[in-house]
Amino acid sequence: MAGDTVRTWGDRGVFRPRELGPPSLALGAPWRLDPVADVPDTVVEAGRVGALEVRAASSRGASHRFDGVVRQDAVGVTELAGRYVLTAVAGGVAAATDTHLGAQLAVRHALGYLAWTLPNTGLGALDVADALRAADRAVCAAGPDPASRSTTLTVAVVELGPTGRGHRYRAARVGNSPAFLLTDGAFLPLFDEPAVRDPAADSLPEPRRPAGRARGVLRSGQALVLTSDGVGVPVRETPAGAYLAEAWSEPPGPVAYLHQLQFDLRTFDDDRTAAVVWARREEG
Amino acid sequence: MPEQILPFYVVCDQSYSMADHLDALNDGLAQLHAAVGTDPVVADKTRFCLIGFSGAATVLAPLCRLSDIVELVALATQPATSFGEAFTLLRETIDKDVAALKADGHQVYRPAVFFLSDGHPTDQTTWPAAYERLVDPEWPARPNIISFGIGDADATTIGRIGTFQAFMSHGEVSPATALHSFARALTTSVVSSGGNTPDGDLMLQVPERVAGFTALQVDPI
Repeated sequence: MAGDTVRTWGDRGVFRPRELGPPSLALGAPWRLDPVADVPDTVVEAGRVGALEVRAASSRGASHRFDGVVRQDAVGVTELAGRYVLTAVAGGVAAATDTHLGAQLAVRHALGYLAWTLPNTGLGALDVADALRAADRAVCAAGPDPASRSTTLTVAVVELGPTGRGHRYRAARVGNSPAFLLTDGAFLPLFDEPAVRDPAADSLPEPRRPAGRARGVLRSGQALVLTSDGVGVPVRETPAGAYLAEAWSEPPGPVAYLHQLQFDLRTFDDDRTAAVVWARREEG
Repeated sequence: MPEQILPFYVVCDQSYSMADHLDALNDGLAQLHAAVGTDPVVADKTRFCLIGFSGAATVLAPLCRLSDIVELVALATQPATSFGEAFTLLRETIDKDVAALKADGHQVYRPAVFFLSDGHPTDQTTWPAAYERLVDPEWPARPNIISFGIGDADATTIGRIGTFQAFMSHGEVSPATALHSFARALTTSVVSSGGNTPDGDLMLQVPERVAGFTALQVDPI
């Protein structure tokens, strides 16, 4: 198998994943179906909400595809009455047996909570961390042994707002799934990142540390990027950062976006999940 | 290109007292080689090094991708059993390997050592000092050690060497299965979200039971 760069299984031609280094063996191996029927290998979502462009996708990583393990990450994006874009990314915690359940629950309930509360509070009075707490309750209440459903969760709200003044955003997270502001070709960390990644990273249910919070204004041409480790770590530490910064300088089409997330970088074989909200460049 | 690499050291006792088991161990290593060759997830993320020891210790196969090795060097019996030589060479080798991987820009996880022996060292009084240097908490690259007692092994000694887990063989089962399942478990935990740090603290999730082996209580010294 050594040095074999001819893929015997998978996409070819223009659909072949972009190799950012020596090709991995894992990526060329046939996928295996996983035992969970209602969590597909990949989900993709895309849309335009006024001046905002939204793309989101979550795919199994090469290792889960090879091993026949369910996708452990989850992603959700939605719009609220043409006034807000809501996004959530949950990153599976591999040690937890039903982490995919926790991730799905966390995304659904965090977004559900925001959709319920935002019309009353507006963005100004909103504490996005309340959405994390709503997700926490849902993960806890879903059955015995809540720890088996451990997951990280990052949520963000972007406001359409008045034309030409940018878009206010609020974000919060449990765990250290990376999130960025993509501006002028650089991924700037959205949250304060610990100097050393914590081996016992925080997660739902019952997080041990206070939620991380971030707020700001998304300017024309910038993008707000929520990721799981499978995307965020290579973005931060490898040439995948330069690759995606270039690819995302403008909002790609939905299928192109999915393809971009499938980049091949040996040993980075975790689930790939990202939700991106672009403030479109002003025309003229 | 930066990668996330788990270095894996298989350290085999090839003293005379192991003579009855070396054929099985050689078969086992060949099986491990074949198994990893067909396991792309493990093949991508691990690098293997084979060290044999008796009175002296030798790097039989330097750290590399197991899929790059055409044929593994066979273990052959030699006189004496110096654990001290094995531990000293292991520390030197790990130090050098980790430095080289980091210099190439890779993220290196805490190395894993598989120590296979019948647990009858001939340097009873001197090996513990070499062992202490290998597991020195001040040394950032100190490995997680999983020890396997082969044949008529001394359970106390085997239990003392494993920092993470220790197993006693109780049948005809080849350690290859055990090694492959550990390699799988370790690389799967490398994948785990948030379960690791750039300087090598890896949350180990390894099988608690390995077919054909009895788990020993790991004895903190």
